Amino acid sequence: MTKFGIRALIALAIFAAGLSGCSQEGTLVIKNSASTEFAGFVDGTQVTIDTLGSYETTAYIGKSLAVVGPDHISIIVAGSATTKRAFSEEVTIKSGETTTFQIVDDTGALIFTNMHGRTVNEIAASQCDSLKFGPNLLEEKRTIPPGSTRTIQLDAGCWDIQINYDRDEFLEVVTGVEIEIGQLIEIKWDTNYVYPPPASPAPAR
Amino acid sequence: MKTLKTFSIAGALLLCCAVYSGTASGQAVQKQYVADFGAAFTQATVTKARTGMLGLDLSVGKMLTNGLSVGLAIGYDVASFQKNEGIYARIAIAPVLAKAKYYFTIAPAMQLHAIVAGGAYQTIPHLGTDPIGGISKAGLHPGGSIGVGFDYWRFGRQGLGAEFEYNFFDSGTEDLFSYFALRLNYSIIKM
Repeated sequence: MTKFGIRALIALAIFAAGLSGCSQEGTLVIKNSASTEFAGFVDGTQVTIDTLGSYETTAYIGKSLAVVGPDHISIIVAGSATTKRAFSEEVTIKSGETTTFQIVDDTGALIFTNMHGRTVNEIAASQCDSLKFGPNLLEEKRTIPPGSTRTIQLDAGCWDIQINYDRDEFLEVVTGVEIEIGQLIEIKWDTNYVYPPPASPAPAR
Repeated sequence: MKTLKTFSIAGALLLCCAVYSGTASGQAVQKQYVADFGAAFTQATVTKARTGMLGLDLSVGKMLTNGLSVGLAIGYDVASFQKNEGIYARIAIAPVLAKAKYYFTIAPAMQLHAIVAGGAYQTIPHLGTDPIGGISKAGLHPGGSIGVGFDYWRFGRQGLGAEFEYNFFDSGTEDLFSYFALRLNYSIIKM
């Protein structure tokens, strides 16, 4: 074999060795900036992230050769928090880069505890300036037995909460519940419950 | 974008063919047949692809001129392979291609060649949950390939060579499925 042939084979061997190092990866950091713990899935893996915590994962993109091949991949981030409605989003991760995905509050929530001796059948809400209550906010066929607690997500605003309870389906309304995005409001409900208005600032002297 | 890159590479190859020309001496000439038996390292260049593996290929072509051959190529290429918890996740591709090769002589026993091919690719995936390059089930896909290679003719009418071939086909998803083969060939010239 001539010198040229040997050189060509050496060049091919070097080229082949170079091909083995063409894996593409990127990093995904999910930061939970919501007021409550996030639980969900990242690319099919179950994760929970504490408030102000973060989760980091390396995403395998694939193989490429010079300009040919993938340089990014899309993965699904899905889940919810008490103050973040359930979502499912596609996040694009680029090769060699760190992509940050932020989870932020988009709702408030009622932490409703039934202190009454009978089961709460339904809970509905209406804006304080409206007379019409919306649909049942409890999941289908999920009532609140005595002593139990349920979390109910509500948009920011002033709400009147209607409670349907007992076998006779009595109705009672808790009025003037002010809620903000990211806020958790605890109601330990019993009959004749009155929602305490937020403490007003001391008058200026 | 990917298609544009592919055509750019093909254009560069054709330009190379136009610049170099020459009559093969001591190699296959007009009206002869050339058979190539190839063993290759094949690697998919798509999302979720793992390290590739072995490909076996056979191509037979007739020399229409002293430089140009046209023929048929078939193969079985394992372009991604991963052992995962006792499961061998892999994707194999069986190309059936009409292939044109253009040879140009660089030394008495040596030739370079350029390849352009078109045909169908049968995908044979054995995968877990993740598709590779959008492929998760067996199917027939239209596609083609381009490549360059080197031939060293010795032993009478036999030769040894190496070539790089880039294959691409429509996977039916957003991107083209592509893989390359780095192949060693044993070639025979038949009258």
